[in-house]
Parts: sequence; C-alpha cells; structure tokens
Amino acid sequence: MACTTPNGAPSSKEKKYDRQLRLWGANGQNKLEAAHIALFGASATGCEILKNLVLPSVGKFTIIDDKIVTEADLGTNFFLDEESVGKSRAERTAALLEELNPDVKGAFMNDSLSNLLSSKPELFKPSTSPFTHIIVVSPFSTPDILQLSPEIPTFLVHSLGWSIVLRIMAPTRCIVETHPDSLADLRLFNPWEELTALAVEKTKGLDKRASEGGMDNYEHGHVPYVLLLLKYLDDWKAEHNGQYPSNYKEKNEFKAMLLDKMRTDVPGGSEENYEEAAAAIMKNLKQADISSDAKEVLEDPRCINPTADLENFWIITNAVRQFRDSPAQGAGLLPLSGGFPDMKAESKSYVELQNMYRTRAQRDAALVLENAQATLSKLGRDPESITLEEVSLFTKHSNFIRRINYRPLTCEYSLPCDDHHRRTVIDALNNWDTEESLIHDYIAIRAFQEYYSTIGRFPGAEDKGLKKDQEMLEAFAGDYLKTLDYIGGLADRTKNLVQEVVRAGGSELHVIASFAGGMVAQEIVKVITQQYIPVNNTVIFDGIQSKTAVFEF
Amino acid sequence: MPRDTRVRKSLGTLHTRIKESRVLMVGAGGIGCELLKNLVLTGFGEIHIVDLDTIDLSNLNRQFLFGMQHIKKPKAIVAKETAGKFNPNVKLFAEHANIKDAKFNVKWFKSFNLVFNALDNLDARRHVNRMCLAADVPLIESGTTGYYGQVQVIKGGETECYDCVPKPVPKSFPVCTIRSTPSQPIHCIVWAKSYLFAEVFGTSQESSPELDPSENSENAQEIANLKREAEELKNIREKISSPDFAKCIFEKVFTRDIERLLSMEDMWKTRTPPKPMDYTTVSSSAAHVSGSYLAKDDQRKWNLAENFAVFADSTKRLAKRMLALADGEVLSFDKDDEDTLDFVAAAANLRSILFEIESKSKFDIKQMAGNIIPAIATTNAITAGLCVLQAFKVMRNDLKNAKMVFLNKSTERVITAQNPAPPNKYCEECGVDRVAVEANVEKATLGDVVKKVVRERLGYKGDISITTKGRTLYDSIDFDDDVDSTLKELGFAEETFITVVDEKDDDEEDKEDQEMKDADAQEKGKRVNVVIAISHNPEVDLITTPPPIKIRLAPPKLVEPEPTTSTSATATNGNGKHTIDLDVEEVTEISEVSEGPSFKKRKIEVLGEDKVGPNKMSKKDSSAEGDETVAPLNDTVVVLEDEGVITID
Repeated sequence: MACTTPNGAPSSKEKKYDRQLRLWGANGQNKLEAAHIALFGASATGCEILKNLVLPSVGKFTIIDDKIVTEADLGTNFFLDEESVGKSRAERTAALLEELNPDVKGAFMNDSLSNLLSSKPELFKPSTSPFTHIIVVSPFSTPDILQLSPEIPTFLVHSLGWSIVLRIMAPTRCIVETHPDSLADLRLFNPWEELTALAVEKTKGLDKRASEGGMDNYEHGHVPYVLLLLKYLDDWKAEHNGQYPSNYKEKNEFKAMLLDKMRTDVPGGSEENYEEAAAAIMKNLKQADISSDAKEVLEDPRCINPTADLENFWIITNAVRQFRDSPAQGAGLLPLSGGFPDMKAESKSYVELQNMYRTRAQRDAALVLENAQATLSKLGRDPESITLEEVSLFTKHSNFIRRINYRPLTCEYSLPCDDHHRRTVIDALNNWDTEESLIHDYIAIRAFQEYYSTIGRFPGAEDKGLKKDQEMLEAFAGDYLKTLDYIGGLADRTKNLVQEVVRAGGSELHVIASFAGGMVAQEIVKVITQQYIPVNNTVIFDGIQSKTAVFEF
Repeated sequence: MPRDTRVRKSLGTLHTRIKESRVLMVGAGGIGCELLKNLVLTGFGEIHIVDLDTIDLSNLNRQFLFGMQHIKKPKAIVAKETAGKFNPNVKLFAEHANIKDAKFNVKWFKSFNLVFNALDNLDARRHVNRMCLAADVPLIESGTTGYYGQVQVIKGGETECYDCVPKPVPKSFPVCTIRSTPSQPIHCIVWAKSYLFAEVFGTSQESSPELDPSENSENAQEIANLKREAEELKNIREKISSPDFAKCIFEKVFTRDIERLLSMEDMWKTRTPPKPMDYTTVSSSAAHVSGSYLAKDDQRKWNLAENFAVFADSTKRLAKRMLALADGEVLSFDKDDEDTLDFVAAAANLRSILFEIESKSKFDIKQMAGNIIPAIATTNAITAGLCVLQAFKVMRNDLKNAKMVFLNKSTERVITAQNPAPPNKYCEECGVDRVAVEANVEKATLGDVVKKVVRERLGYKGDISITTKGRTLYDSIDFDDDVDSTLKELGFAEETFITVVDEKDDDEEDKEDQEMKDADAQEKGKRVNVVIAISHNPEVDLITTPPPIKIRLAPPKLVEPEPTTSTSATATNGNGKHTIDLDVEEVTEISEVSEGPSFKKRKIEVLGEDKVGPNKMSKKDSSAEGDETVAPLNDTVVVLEDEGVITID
C-alpha cells in the first residue's frame, strides 16, 4: 500500500510524505490513498479544498462542473490559466490539479449535481457509488442535497463574501486514535497489587537519613514521583481511616505533608522529584474514571449487543465492556492505557516503573482480545479477524474513544421544524453574545440557499435589482425564522450579513476560498483517516472577525 | 468581466491601496507558498520574496508551487516563477538569500508597507521582528506545527512584538550527561550526532549548540579526560581507508572509552554502570545480518546484532564518500541523508544498549535528531489565509480590530482569536527608544560615539554601558579599553545596532518621577534602553548627531518576571533536562514554529472601561487564559463600515 513496499523498504513516497506521516502514520495514509473524492463545483473554493487533498495524496478525485471558464474565474481560481478561458471548467481544473501530484488520479464530468441525481442515481447509492466522499460547493439547491445519501460522508460548503459554512453529513464515526494531549493514566487511587508492592519496596528508608540506615540524598532525590505519591497516599490513609484525600482541602493538606518530607539541605534547597509529585497532585489524585465520551460509546446498543455485520470497532468496545463488568478483569475500570509520563528518576528505576504500567496494559489488552475473540466465535465470525495489535491500539485509547452520530440533513430542513434544530438556533439567537454570534452568518447563508433553490440564480448577480434581492433574501430569512417559531424578527446583524451576501453577488474572495480550502480539507482528512476528532456537524467562519463557531444543527 | 472584479467588489476602497502596496514575504516554504498565492490573487502590487532554502522532496506534500523537477533549486526563485503566471498585474521580485544579509538594512525594510514572516526558525524571526521595529513597518508573524498554527500582528509601540513574550530556547545538555552519564535515548542520539559523527566524519565541534559546557564545573578532571578522548577519536580518521575502520571506531567508543568510564568508580555508586561491548562477540552475532537491507526497516526497533550491522554498513558507506571528497571537505549530518542517519541511529542505539537505556526506531531517531516538525497543507492554508485577513486590517489602519489568532485541534472552535496585547514595557526589543546616525566607521571611534552622541546629544550624565549583539563595548564604571578603537576595528559593518543602557540604580526613585514628562524629570529617573543604528557613510567626517529626542523613562523594576509557561515540552530524568515523548507538539527543539498555543498561555485582561469605546458592551470579570476575548464592538454593525463603501464600477 502507501508507504511500505512488501519487503519493508521505504519508498521515495515515504520521504515525500514524511511530515504528514508523523501526524497520522501509515494507517492514516493508507486510508487517504484509498479514498475517491467527488467534487461538485470547480469554484476557487472547491479547487482549494481539492488541492489540499491532492497534495497529501488522496487516491482519486472526480470533478463535476458544467461551467465554461471565464476571465473572472482567473482572478480567484489559482488552478485556471489564460489558456483555460472558454474551455470546460471541470476539465481544466482536473488537469491542473492532477499536475500537482503524480501519485493522484484525476477525472472530470461536464455535468451538474441536479442533473446527475436524476440521470445517474447509481453514483449516489452507497452500494454502487464509486465515490467514498462527496464535496458539494455552493451554489446548490436544498432539494438536491436532501437527495444525497447519509451513508456516504458528504461535505457541503458555502464560501460567499466573507463567510464560510461547512456542514458535515456522515454515518456514525467511530474514532480510536483521537490524539489526546496525554494518554498517561497513573491509577494512584486504584493501584494493583504489583504496583503497590513496588512502591513499598522502592520507598523503604525514604524518610530516614543515610546515617540512620535510610536513603542517601542522591537516592532520595531520584525516587520517581509516582512512587512518592503512592507511598505518601498509603501513609495518609493510615491516618485517615483508610480514606484517600478527596477534596481540595484534603489534597492541599496532603501536599503539605508531602513537601514536609522533602529534603531541603541538598544543593538547590529542594528536590525536583518532590516538586513534581506536588505538581501532580491536583490532576492525578483521583479515582480512575471513565470519560463521558467513552461511556457514551459503551452504552451504544451496538456495543451492548454487537451483531456479526458490525465493524471491529463495536466488537472491541463490547469486549472492553465485558472487561469493565468482569470482577476478575477490569472490575469497573477500563483497560490501562500504558501511557506513562516523563519524570525525574534514575534511568533504571524509571524503566522498571514504566514497565510496570506497560505490563499491566499488555495484560489488560490480552484479556480484551480474549473477550473479543469469544464474541467473534459466538457471532460465527473468524476469531482471528481481530488482532492483538488492533486491540492494543484500542485499549491504549479506551478512555478517549469517540463516537459521533451525525444528525441527518433531513432534520435540518424538515417541516415542521425539528425540535433539536429549532432549539440550537434559538438558543444561539437568545444567548448573551448574540450580537457577534455566527448564527447570523448561518441564517444569511441559509436565506441565500433558499433564494438560489427558488430563483435559480445568485442574489446580487446583476447590478440592477440589488435592493429587490436584499428584500427577497430578508424575506427568506424571515420565513426560516418563522418555521422556528422565533418571534424576535430579523436582527440587524442578520440584515447586514444578508446585505453582504447580496454585495458578493455569488462571488468568492480568493483568500476566503483559500482559508475554506484549508479548513474543509482538514475536516475531510480527519474523517478519511479516522484520526483526530472532526467537527460535529457545522463550522462557520467569519472572515471579518477572524472567528469560527461550531453548531450541531 | 475583468479578472479583479470580484476582489474589488468585496474589498471596496481597500482594493486600491492593496494594488499600490509594496510588501515583503520572508520565507517561501509551507506558509510562504500559500501566502504568495493569496497575495498574488488578492492583487498586492509589488511582492518581494526572500528565502535561502532549496527545495527538498519532503516539501512537496504541501509546498505546491514546487514539483519534482524543482528539487534542489532555490525556493524563492521557483516560487516567484510559478506564482507569477497567475496574475500578470503583480510585480514579483525574488532573492535566494539570507534575510540577515547586510544588504537588507533598515532603509530597505522601510521601503515596504507591510512585512510577512513565513519562517521556520526562531533566529530569523527575531531578526525580522527587530528590523521591522527599527524601520517602523508593521509585521505579520506566522507559524505552524502539525495541526497548530498562529498568526500575530506586530506594530512597534502599539502591539506586543515577537520578543515581548520570551520564547523557549532550544534545548541543550550538560556535556557530562552526553559524554559520560547518559540516561535517556535523546542523550545517546545527541552523542552520536553532535560528537561521534562530527568527530569522525564532520567538523569537530568544540561547541555545539546542543552541548552546554557551563554545567561541567563539578568535574574538571572528567572534562579533561573527555577532551583527550575526543582527540583520540579524531586520530581514528587516519584509518579511514582501512577495512577495519568500523572496528577501530567500535572498539574505541564502545569498548575502551566505556572501560575508562567504568574506572571512575565514584560515578557509578548510584548509577547503573555501562557494560563495554566486545567487538568479536557482537560482530559474530551479526554475521548473517544485512545492514544495508535492515536500514530500510525504519519503524521497528533493531536489536544489538541489527544495530551493529547497520553501524558497520553505514560506516563503510560514509568512509567511501569521505575518501571521494576533496581535501578539506567533510560530511555533515542531514536527517534526509540516509547514510548519516543510519550511522547516527545505529551508534545511538548501541550506546543506549550498553547503558541499558531504551533504544529507538530509526524513524523516531530521525525526528529527534533532525528536529522534524510535522507539517501539512491544510494548516498552512488556514494560517496563510488568516495572515492576509490580518493584513487587510493593518492596511486599513484598523489595528484595534486586528487579532492574534490561534489554530488548534479542538473541535469546539477551530480557531481562537484574541486582541493583540499591548507592548511589554520590559521587552528588550520594543521597550526601547531608537535613534539613527551615520558615521565613517573607518575614522570614528567608540569614544566619538560615547562623547558626541551619547553624552552630548542624548544627554546621558550618569553611568552607562553600551552593548552590541550581547557583547559589552563600553561600561563607564569599569570598561573603557576600546574608546580609541575605530568602529571598524570593533567590527562595525554597513549597519550596526548598539544599545545604550542607563545604569542608574532606580531603586530609590520616587514612583511619581516615572510619570513626569519634562526633560528635568528625566534626569531623575532611569531611562529605557536606547538603540542607536549606526550606518556607515564614507562621506561623513566622523559621526552625525541625531535629531533631539525625548527618551522615555524605564518602568519600575520588575519584581517577579512575568509568568510564561513553556514547560510543555520539558521534563526531567536523570541529570539532564530533555524530552522523550514524541507526540507531535512536543518537539525537542524549536524549528518551524517557535511557539504555538501549547507553549504560550497568558492571562488576558479585559480592557478597562476607560480604554473602550463609548457604546461598548464589556464582558466584566472574564479574564480568560489563551481564550477568546471580545473586541470592543460599536453598536453599529461592523460589516459594512469595516468593508468600506460599496463600489461597483
């Protein structure tokens, strides 16, 4: 596949993509190279999005557009040159974008979304579509986009004047590699037997001077802070009826107790390992918990009762659920990640402690694998179809896994209005920061989309009739607010943004198109690689305020 | 419809200003390519590009102005050629040069309306920042790493400058940690790269930026030993044509040097002692391992025999290359040069093994040794877009609505924006006053500068010191050795900056003095540093005198340095500070960005009522950390005012 040839030798490809492989690895790269992207609308925005997917090497792209290149296109679209004027926009942009990266295959169709939806419906059926991901760039009409299957990840993009709106529609995303800032999980309140034993052994003589048979200053200053915390937590419990310091006050008392044991008659007057221990108290002194994101996944019906047809993700979450529920396995906890932070310590004792966490994580992963394989057998699937590697990647991240259920587009446009949608918009309008909320950009762009769906052209495209277009757009915006039962009427800010839309006359600004190209492609890459967490489900950018906002419509 | 119709519609009157502007873009890499495209298609009239880099294969995943056929060609020149085709109305100028060259002087910087930094290193960033402050030209500073990005608008006296917030400095390690008592993989990698490779194949490095000799005082004898060892290693080079070359190096650094270290018994009382390796044993275990084949397997950690095989094979390859070089030429480490990387990776791992330190895969070592920063097209596109949007604010003289923008991987907000912070009064770069003089550096002496400019013209009466680039030229208390030397003898070139420091002790000064503005009061207070730009002019007799200026008073002494967190990447273990985690945002040294949101957190105070416009809503009591603050908003809506008049001609 992408990065490694069968004998394991790196190709020049690996060098070419080195800087991004460090973000998403061979796994992500392989997924990227298996993708076939359809772009509807070869506008500057569309081409900038595609550019940012062609460079990191998506597998294939197809551009669908029925326009002829005009002189004005050249002013905003980098992927059109003088020679292109008068020719097919789909053909010219496909050719110029393909030139960017010889590893990518490009194709084009001189056609439009509306037309293809009726003439070639097979292109849009998940079972027959050649496309793995679909990008639709404005202008598009509401009835057209409502025909798109929610089973194919789709990115709807408006880039108009100074505003960008991206709406993602996709089947449930199950993300393992969410790339949290840290995977470390110290389990200070939930140590297992071996860890407790190690802490006891390694802290012998900790509070005694070398002269009294205890530790010398060097040893004392190199006890890893995790062991210090475990030892002093034990001391604390002995004095507090077996209870851990649980609240802020107690934790502060604990901190004072710990710092009191630090040796200050050493060079520098303090010990770094004790300071590290003190600094770790507030964050790490807690019961091992299960994050709300992970809980959400564990309570998903697909996790509780997986069926044979489901992806491995659900089989493994089910195995993790079994692990959690089994008193002999997790006993209420998730598998240990094995992540371990850096700390002041002697190399040897650091590695020993690190291995203690790693070994435990390996043991947990092995148990989860057993559970998963048993489930696979029960479901009549090959128990070997899930590997230890896959499970280990999962258990390393089990507290950070995410499920995103994208709300279908039909809810955003349903009549009578969907309740969730109504609440989202009205809450934003009634919020204290409504003055500068980007919800107004959404309403203005939505009015634009209705205008285009109804009239079939851009508002403001002709210099005459600007005023009439403004009124019509305001009417569309007002109608939309009425469907939400919003009684506040059109805000001044919405009106001004509507005016801005009319002024743009459907035209793009290159810098906004370029920004959209980065922002939209970034989300597409997250969805394709199944790494990092994509936006759910709409992100709006206002180029005047240089500000973004995310809404779940 | 002409090509710029759309831009004109959206930008209104600003469009004309942009068409007539002259801007400088420093750096034509990841951000630079995107930025140049944006500038060209937005219609900036004249764009100058300076970059000293050449194009590498690993650039092509994002630097789209370059293709395979451009590899090894200068970035600036190719960028200009490719981008130039897309707007015949824009004038482009490119220079394949270092922005620190003397020809890019203050006068040259002054010729631009706006400067964009699209750089990849701290040093050049700080230089451009300094030049823009001196030339009083606004600067748009940007950087990216992985999914993180940042854009900052800098205008001397009005906003924070690049150096107002101290930047984390590149890591260095105590010499003894690297040479005698490593405890982490990075120590062994630095050893292999900056010591072993440099001594055997490269330029011997008495002082490498990664080695910190200052922390070695505790063990002077060990330092002497280390010096001798290095000497011996250098002599090994003579055996480069011998088939036993790898054996010679191996037995020197993995056997004899380790045995000597072991003899320092005190060193191993509390540390795990290293185990010397035996050449015959190790080489026979590796008899059937192909080093050249293995070197390609870079994601997996190699075992002892495998490391040995790669070590022996890469030594052979490098020796062959050395022999083919002309006299005096040497090799240098380059992360993208497989032979050098193989050698460093294998040698580092062998050392790790004998010190019982975890070894690393070649892929990881490449990142650690080469300071690789992950980079992708999308982040650069977003960041470059934000640069231009901020440029619009600057060109409109609307600095109060400019923003400092952070791009992060959070999905609640894709970007966060905050108002530019005011200048840090204590900043050594922008918290100064500036004057410019011309001098004939061949004739004028340092004494002339002190007497004619500093004492007589600027009116300094008390104790002062004068420095340049961190070096003291003059101190009225205890250093006047050079007063009779000409400026040229002191190293002054076409343009040299000196800093005059008022050495008056400000402890007893009354606070009220600080507020007083009249000249008399100045004598009572301590002055801010004054930077004097001295440019060489052979037609000047000795030195010109600057126009009279009122020098500001220094702010009261800072009791506690402003807290800036830069701890994200550092951690400690053993006797040296270092980083071992290879997560994307935790890099061992600073390269493509010097600070990102992860490095930089600070409190933002909401503007007091007195500083805010009359019709503004204020968010009381919300001081956020690295979070968004709200710009003062007029009740009238921003959009149309902001964008000027609708002009459709």
